[in-house]
Amino acid sequence: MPEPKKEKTHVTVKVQRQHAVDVFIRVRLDLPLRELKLAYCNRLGLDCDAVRFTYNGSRIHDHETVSDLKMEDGDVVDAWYDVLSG
Amino acid sequence: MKQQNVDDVVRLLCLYLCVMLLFSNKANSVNWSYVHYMEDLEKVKEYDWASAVSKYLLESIHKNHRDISQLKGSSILLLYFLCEHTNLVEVKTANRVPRLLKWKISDLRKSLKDFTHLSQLADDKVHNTNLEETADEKKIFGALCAIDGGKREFSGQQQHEEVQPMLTDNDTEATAALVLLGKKEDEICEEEEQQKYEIHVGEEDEICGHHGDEVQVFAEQKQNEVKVCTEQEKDKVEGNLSNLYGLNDFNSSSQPSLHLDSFGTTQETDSGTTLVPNTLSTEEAQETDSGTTLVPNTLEQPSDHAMEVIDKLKKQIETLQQEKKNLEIENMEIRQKNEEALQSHKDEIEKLNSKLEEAQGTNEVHQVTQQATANKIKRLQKEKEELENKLLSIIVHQVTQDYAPKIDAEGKAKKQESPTSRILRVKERDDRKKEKESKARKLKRLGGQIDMTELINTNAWAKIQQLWKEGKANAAVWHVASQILCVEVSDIQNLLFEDPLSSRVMDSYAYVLMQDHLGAQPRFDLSTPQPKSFIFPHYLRLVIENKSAKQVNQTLQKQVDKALPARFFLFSILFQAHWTLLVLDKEQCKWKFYNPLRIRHGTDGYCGATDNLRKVIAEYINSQTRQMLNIKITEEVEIVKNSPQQSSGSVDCGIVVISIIMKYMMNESQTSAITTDECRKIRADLIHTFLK
Repeated sequence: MPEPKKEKTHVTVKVQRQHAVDVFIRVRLDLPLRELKLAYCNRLGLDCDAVRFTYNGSRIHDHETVSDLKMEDGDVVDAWYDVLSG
Repeated sequence: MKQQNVDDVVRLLCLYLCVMLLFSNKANSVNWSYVHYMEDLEKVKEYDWASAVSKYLLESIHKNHRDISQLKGSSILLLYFLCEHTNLVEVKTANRVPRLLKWKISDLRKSLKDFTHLSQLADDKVHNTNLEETADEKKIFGALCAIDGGKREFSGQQQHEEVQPMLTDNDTEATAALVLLGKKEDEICEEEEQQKYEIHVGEEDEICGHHGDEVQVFAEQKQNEVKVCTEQEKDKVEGNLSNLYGLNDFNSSSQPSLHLDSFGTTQETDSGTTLVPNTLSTEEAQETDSGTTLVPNTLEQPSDHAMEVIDKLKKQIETLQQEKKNLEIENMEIRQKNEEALQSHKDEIEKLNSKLEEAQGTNEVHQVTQQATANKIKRLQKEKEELENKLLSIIVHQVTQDYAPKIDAEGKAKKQESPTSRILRVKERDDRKKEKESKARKLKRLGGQIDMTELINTNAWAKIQQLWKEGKANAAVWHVASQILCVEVSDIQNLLFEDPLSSRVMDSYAYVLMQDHLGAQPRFDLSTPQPKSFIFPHYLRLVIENKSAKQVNQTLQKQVDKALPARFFLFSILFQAHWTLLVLDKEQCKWKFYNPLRIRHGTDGYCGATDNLRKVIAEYINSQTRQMLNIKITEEVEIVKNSPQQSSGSVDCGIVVISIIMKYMMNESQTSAITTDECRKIRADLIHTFLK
């Protein structure tokens, strides 16, 4: 008898940012991605309000979860700082 | 031998006598007070040594009667006193001078064997008679007194001591008399303190209160005695030992001077009391205890009266002192009030001074700031003129360069050109000149003359001021929840102060423009309007980098699919802190790159940064639309040479990019220049948009 497949509960995503080290974060599927943002900012000592996160070019809302965005293992989330330029 | 040495020997002998016999003490040391009396040998005999010795002895007995070993003074006198007043010892030779030769004192011991107390003596053994001066004594003392007959005057202080109740009928009276004698001669007792003295007086008054009457009697008789004494001065020369007195120094004027009574006269006047040869005088006392001695000598009746007066005076003094205290308290209160008033005045003055200083300081500050601002304005105006001139020259130079390659190409083709083409070329040249002149004129006309603050309306100003008052630079002024877009106070500030544009503002304004653009498009059915231009967020270039093909595809599907109907794809590019714009014209299949700071020589690095973006987008569009439109988009890009340029030194690249985007959205033709005022107007528009 083949064993029944275990249901996937977590996804590992990569958070990348310009001029910074990539960070891999394992996220539960039903966890609001606000937690991911907080984890990343805490890890790197950043101000969470000043950092923007995008997935596939769209901004990530706090309440969205991994399953909402259909994230998969190895997907990349971008983190941005708002930059002044002229 | 010198006379002085003889005198010194005499003095020393006298002192020895005093120490060893008359005023003996336990230590056998000489008290300095005796030395004083030995200075003048002539006066030595004038002092009343008898009374002094007696008093010293009695005082010592009084003090030390509990402990005889501490007794001081000439205690042997007590034995002779006993012999004199009792029959215990047989008188061997009567009328001897001095009297102590009358008895053999060692016999006293035998006769006193049977008695433990003197009170056990039988009455018959005690003499109740008074002492009387014998004939021999009279002769001897008379002779002595005759020598000093001229010195008969006494000071008034001696009066109460001239008469001493010495003899009594029995032993008790004798002791009482002794005590009284001690009382009368207190002042002579040299070392006694006044306090002790007073205690003695009190005790003795209790012991022998009845003698006070005797003293009073003496006091009353005083005047008579004085009279008698003065009249019968010569007769009284035969006085007893107590007549030995002197010290003319003590003739005080406050009290009447008296002559010493003779033994006989007092006997006549007062039968109850008798005079004693050993009467005392107060000269010594005055010398030893100056000041304290005279007070107890006053008589009791006058003293009572004086006490009343003293009491009255004391009361008056007390009342006066109270008044004085009250006055002092009032004075203190007045002083305190004055001080308080002074302090309050001082405080007010200080406050006024500080206010004056502040006012002066603020005035100075205002003047200084006004001067500084005036200078700054002048300097800025100068800079502005210089920059405008520079800008003009740059634009002229740029225009000339734009046409330089054409000229070269024309120059090359010149040889092969026909005459008709030459005419065309001349025409083009003329047109170019005209265009150049018109641009220069326009730039000159529109040079930065407008102030940023004039462009902002009052509502926006009010909002800005309110935001500044709140003081939260990170507070969101404008936001779109669905897109997670926001503009913060700091961004408004940057727009106002002509600072660099933030990515937030760029994306937010792009969103606003897109909404306006979509709203302005004609609708032919109920479907969503088809945009003519589409603005992509600035991060799209970065999003598609370092991603798997699958994720890039997903991203492009999300981002590009909705833009496919549009003709112009506008990509604001943020690279190395500089805003540029990449535009895809889908109809012409052309990429255009607008750089507000165009690189004149070499390759444009900013444009190179968009290579990947162009490639990815082109591939995607080709894959999506090839069948429908049969077009192929290449990666080739044209760097627009006459794109509007930001003025040198400014940070208006973002504004310039926005202006280009706006032209695309409004479907207007692009201009080749933008002035500072236009940039400011755009900034003002942005501020108004976000502060609505």
